[in-house]
Amino acid sequence: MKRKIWGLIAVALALSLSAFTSFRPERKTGSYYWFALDSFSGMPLTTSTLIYQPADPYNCANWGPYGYCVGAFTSYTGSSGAYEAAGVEVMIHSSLYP
Amino acid sequence: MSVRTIKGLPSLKEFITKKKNSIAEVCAFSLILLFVYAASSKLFRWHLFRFQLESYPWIRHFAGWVVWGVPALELAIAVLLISGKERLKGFYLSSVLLVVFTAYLLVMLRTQHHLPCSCGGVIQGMTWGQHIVFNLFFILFSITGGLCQRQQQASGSSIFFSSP
Repeated sequence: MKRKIWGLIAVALALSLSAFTSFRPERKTGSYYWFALDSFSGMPLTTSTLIYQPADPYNCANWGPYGYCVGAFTSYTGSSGAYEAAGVEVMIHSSLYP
Repeated sequence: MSVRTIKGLPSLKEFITKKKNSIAEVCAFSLILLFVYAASSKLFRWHLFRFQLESYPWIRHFAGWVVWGVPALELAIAVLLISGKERLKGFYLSSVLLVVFTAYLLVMLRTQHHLPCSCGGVIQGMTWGQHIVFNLFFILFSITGGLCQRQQQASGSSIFFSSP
């Protein structure tokens, strides 16, 4: 019985943490490197112009389904003339900016 | 032969034997926390989870199933870990799920660069490399917990089998 109580405490803790992180108003205030995505494969395309700007969906060039802006990456590789996306792609939802 | 490196201190094997119940408890607690957190984060923001799955190679064709199947499996594992008699199955299933997910990540990172993070809540802030280390840590927890639980059940010291 004692063990089940510990299990239920873990469940309550996990649900509280999850609700807090899921329903908290989330604003991605950082800036990202924006890349156009291939319309067929979804892979980021190489670009000669590096765009580094805040995660504001009003500047979004690549709208995905369900109101998500795609193509914001945390890093890049390459030098002038041929930049490639690197790091993690961040999902940005239009509702984040009223 | 008794192995004692420092006089008065028990060996690692003795320590594990004595503390196996506590080790299994800590592992189960951590895994329940992980799976319930992961499942509820996905369900609370299922539209985001589905969108991310649809952008994943291979999985995108089954996104409709995976979006409900993965949280359901995670919750089922948590239930098994809470229930005394089925806890060993919970440890086994949790090892399998984490190994499959980590293997998928490793293969995808070797072959693809476009892999948006489908992880929820605080885990979303991790890079894929950090996520793999995180998974390996919990795989270790699952295996250790499973071994301790199996020894515990074999020796019949578990309260689940000694009392009604």
